[in-house]
Amino acid sequence: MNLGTPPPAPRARVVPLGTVAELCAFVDELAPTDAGELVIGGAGVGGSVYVDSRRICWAAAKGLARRLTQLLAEGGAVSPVDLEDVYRRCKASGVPLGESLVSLGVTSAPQLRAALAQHTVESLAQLTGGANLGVWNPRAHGAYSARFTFGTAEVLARTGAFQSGGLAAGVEAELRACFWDGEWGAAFVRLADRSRPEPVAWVGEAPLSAAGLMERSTWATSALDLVAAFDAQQPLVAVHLPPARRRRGREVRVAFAFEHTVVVGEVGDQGPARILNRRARARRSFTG
Amino acid sequence: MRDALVERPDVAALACMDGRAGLVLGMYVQGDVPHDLVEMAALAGPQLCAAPTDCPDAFVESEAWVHAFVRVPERPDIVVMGLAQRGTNVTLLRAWLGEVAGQVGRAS
Repeated sequence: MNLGTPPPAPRARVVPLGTVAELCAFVDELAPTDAGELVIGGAGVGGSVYVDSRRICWAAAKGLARRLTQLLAEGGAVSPVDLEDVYRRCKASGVPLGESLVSLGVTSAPQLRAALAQHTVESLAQLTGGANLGVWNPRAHGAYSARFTFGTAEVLARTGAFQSGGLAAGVEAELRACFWDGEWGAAFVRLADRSRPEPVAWVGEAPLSAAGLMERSTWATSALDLVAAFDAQQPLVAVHLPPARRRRGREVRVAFAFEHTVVVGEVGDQGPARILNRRARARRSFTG
Repeated sequence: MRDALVERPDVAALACMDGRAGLVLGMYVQGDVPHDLVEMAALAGPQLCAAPTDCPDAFVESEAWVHAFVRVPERPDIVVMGLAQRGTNVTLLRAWLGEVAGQVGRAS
């Protein structure tokens, strides 16, 4: 019996990892059902990133093996002893660590998600840079829960916030005041040596892909540049999205400047007026 | 468009722009508003409505002004712009501009 030629084995690919944005772009370009591991090796660098269905599920970097434990302990969520115990049990049973920590009541889902996000960002910051390269190895789908994995837009925005340090905290507070539940907003800075604005803060459920987030930041900076020619008094630009791109409670896309950042987001119909009023109140209180 | 503007003393200017040709087709101003700023705003209309994708309308609101832009039905390359002082109800301004855009569409 002729069974024909067997299908070719998936081939490893080499991926440049100079920046987290490059890594996110690679993930965005994968097929929606792809899963695999990016293995990074080199002088002083080592680790891997597991990706499933265009989401970053786990990142591990040399020297950060105990960082997740620290982050959970810093948040008061779990003691190192508890974590070690659960980790050993998970390793034996093959169950993802995060799921077990929550199901056993060791930590809450939001605490775990925040710690995992920070751990991912710090690991990626270490794994990317310079001429770093990763090797992509296709793998079987893992058992990661989507709530403990991260879309590339979130990873990119969190990375920017992590790298910008103090700037992000003040901007994020403003975003939280401007954008309500169900809406999203992100702030970017324009750097002279970068071709595109860099995210520094973000609130709400941003578009899943980093490419989508960057497309919106480009729109916002272009729109504000255009408007500056005829209205220089801190304008807010708003467009009603066409029905195909609208989501309930996010009918309007807005762009405005806040301190040294450009803010873009999607809000409900009343969002622009609400944001303008908030900004007007802030100006009045500032001028006394 | 001139008649429409006269009926709305709260609106400072009304303009119509052909985005494909890059031309201001008509511009009417009442009150103390610099014509060059109205023209620049009108010229920006098609671009503001074209991105991020073809949007039906757009508006720019600042401490002083509200610029509202509405596409002409069946002629999406043509955009009508209304300029009013801040504090004007944007929803009503947009609705009124929609009527003006409809008239422009029927006349073109």
